Amino acid sequence: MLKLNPIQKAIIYFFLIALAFINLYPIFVLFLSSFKTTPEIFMKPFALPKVWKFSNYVEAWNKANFANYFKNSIIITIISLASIILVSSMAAYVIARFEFRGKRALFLYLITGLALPARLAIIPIFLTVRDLHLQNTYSSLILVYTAGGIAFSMFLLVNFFKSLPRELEDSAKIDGAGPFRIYWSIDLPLLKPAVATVVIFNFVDIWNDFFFPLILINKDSLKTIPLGIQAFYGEYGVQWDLLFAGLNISVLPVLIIFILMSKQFISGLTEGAVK
Amino acid sequence: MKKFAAAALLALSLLSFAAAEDKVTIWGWRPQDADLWTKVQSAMQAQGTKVTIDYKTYLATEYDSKLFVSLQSGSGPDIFYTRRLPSASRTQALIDGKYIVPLNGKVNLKNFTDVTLSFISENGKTWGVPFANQVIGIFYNSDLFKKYNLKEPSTWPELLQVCETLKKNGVTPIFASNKDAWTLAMQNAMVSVSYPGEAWLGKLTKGQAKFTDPEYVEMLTALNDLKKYYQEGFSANSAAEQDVAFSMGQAGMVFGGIFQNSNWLKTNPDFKFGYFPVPSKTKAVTPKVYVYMDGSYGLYSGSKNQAAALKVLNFAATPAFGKIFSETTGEITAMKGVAMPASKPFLQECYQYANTQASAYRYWVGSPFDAGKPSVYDLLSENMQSMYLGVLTPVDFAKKIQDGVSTWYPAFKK
Amino acid sequence: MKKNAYLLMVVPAVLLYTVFVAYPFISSIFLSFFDWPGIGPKKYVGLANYKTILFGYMQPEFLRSITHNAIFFVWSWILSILPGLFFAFCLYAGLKGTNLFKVIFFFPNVISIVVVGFLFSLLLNPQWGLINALLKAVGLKAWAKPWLGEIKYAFPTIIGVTQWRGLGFYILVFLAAMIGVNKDEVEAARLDGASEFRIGWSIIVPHLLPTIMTLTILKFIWTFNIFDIVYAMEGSQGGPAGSTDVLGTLFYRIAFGGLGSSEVGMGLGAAVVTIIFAVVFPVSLLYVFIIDRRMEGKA
Repeated sequence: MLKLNPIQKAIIYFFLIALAFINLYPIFVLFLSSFKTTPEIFMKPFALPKVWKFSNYVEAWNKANFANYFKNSIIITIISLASIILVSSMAAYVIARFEFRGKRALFLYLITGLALPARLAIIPIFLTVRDLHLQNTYSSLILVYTAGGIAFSMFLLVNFFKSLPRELEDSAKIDGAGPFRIYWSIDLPLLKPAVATVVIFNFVDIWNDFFFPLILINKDSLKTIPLGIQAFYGEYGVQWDLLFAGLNISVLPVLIIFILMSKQFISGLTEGAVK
Repeated sequence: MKKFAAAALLALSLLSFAAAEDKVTIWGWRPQDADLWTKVQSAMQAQGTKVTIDYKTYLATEYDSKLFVSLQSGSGPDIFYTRRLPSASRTQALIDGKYIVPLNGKVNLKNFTDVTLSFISENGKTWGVPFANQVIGIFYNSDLFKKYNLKEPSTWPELLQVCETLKKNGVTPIFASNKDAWTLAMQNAMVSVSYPGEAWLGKLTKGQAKFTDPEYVEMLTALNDLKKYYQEGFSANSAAEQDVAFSMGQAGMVFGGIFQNSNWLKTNPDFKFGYFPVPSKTKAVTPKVYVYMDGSYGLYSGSKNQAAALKVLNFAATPAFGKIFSETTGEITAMKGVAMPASKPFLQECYQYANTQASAYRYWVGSPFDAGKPSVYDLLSENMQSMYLGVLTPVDFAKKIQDGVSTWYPAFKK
Repeated sequence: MKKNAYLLMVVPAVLLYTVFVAYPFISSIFLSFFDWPGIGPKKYVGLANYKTILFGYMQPEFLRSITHNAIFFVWSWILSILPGLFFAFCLYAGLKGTNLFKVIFFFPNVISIVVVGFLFSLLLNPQWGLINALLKAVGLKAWAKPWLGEIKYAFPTIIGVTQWRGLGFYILVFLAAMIGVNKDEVEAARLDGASEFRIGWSIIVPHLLPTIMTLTILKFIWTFNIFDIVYAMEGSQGGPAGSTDVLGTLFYRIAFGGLGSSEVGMGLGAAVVTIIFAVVFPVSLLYVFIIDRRMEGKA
């Protein structure tokens, strides 16, 4: 939307391409290295792999248990996202639609979560999980992720609810429907665009998180992908070729989803910073 | 009478059947031990002892907090790996909290040297069965040494000579891993038992010598001067990179530990390497070896399977276990009188050194200088990099260590 | 009762939030007044932990860390906001392929920080790493430094890597804000004969000031909490020689122990956390306040 002459356009293209190259090349290296042997990774970073070791992926998937880590990551991420949506939208609905004493205080209380990076409270979180006998369960991570996602998701959804027309709800109220019915049958289905934003906003952080699984999960069978990658680190050494294959396995799902849904991704992740 | 005997026998066999397949849980920080415990279980069962062993690993840096919190909630493993004594917080905290049982009289410990046991004993009580001794020193590429007709140096000047020869021939004499500060602390420690020497360390431990003494400053200076034989860009190389470079023949020597050998062999199965203790200044002082007990197996006081756990611990104190351990992990068992696997001659060499030339005094891990804050380990980790980067002189460095340790080490406070 | 039944719908959120977010924070602050190695009895020590950190033997480490966080914030801001604006304008130009560029620029942002840190550690290897290999290949051998090993270069390198990963976010936020600028204003200026550059500078940028403000706040919160990238590239010791140590790595070392024999002091760790908190919280509240005002504005 700027009117530019050809020279200006060329300059702009130059910068855009330069940045694109800088962005893509390391990712390309990440991809290429996953097919090399350990010495090759270190000593011949430029070269194409001498032999394309697809076995790195097979070994990482089976021997290194990546199939299992993948399953755990998927289950935990999906359930956490569903919980976040459910719990946050219910709260957002109430705050957007009703007036009651203490509403503002409640809103502020929950929104303050934006200022509380959960990681800093890790010690008490760990102790709480332990006291509730939830160590080494999917639940521990799901509960922590859900609680952590409430602040921002709720803020987004309150915004959205306020923009929904009241007429549909009013006619349902006249018909005698209670608040939960209205929420469930009318508003929730309309939430789709906002839900996409909430999902994307939380998805990347949950999928890539390694700090909470690190502290809350011990059992190898329950580890998520980032933690599984850490498992490659023995006390004094590492199998770099398998590690790189594992890194690609962990990065690939996010990248694929991102490419397919880039528009929603970008709007979801930049929400809250614009204006 | 016969009937009674038969009934008693039946009852006994039923009882032992009921007690069959006792499950013993063990927690540790070494992933390489998974195979070990499987083999131990088979060996014990072959002997007729019915136990199953369930082993879990946690990352070394998180192991302690995980263990502590579990023990507190009463849900700990039967056996857990412990680190050394003295240690103000970890092993000591276990003893103070009464989570661990002294093994005197319960486990036969005659197969361990006194030096080894001293790492896990206090006031006459021994708190664990040691599982490995670690030997640190200088490892070298045998092929490169042969190629240039080099012999294992026995004095520091001879070591410098070896470096010169390698450098003249275009080979990196020493590959350093300065990015990982802990390896520098380890390097410093292994040099100290030979360069100023064991006798001086003894005096230091008793408070009769100081880090600021000229012989120690001389050692720091010698270490600092050694950097001209390191690879270009050494300040940014990690221990993992050192493993790859060394095993791929890119350097003549490394300051390392026997525990690194499995990394080297995994990267290059044909790699041939040797070991020699860090040489002393002159032939008058015998070079010593920094040996430290890596860890031991401790018994949880709240274990519901103490009898079965003790069976495992007693087995772990026999040479049969030592043999399985060394063969499976490629490391040196903590007990004496075990034959190292023939396929690994370097193990035999280090084992020999560990049992005959171990320094009785030290100041890094497993020493009284590790019992308070800031420990010598902390001070070395923080400041070795600074010295090598040229922002801290050896004299000031020595002073920092002395001042730091003096804030808590009893013998220095007199 | 039935009239207020709808309040039940907020209970799950409030419950989860209180148990797993609010309460742990209060508990952390509480813990900071005790001496506790993680096992055994807790010993009440009042303000001793704070004294140790702010005035005692930990003071040099603490001051060094917080200074690094501040430096990180300043440089990160400069390297995000300025290039962010520039590239956003490049995209705003609306040339062919803009959408593809948007996707590419955002790519690094969806990759886990741990993966990014690890990957770049390898690329920065002084002997075999791609970056130095490239420099040598184009004749800039003098520039092929041991990046993560020198006191002068390690921290800037980490800042640089963080920018590689994060710049896309800033570019796209600015772009969205630019698109939101009233087109009529732009057209009017054009009709008046203003050059494209003038338009950019005098009309669009002023509209972006609220966005810049919000981004600054977010960046402050984020840089003072930084941990993952430093941990991934230099470990918890904050090397070399402490030149990359930040409050996050300091906390991790104290609470969970570094490699070897460091003491585990959870009470001391909680004190560090509370201090980080005290620094960041007021700024975070500002952000919360802005959001709240925006909410009220829509009531």
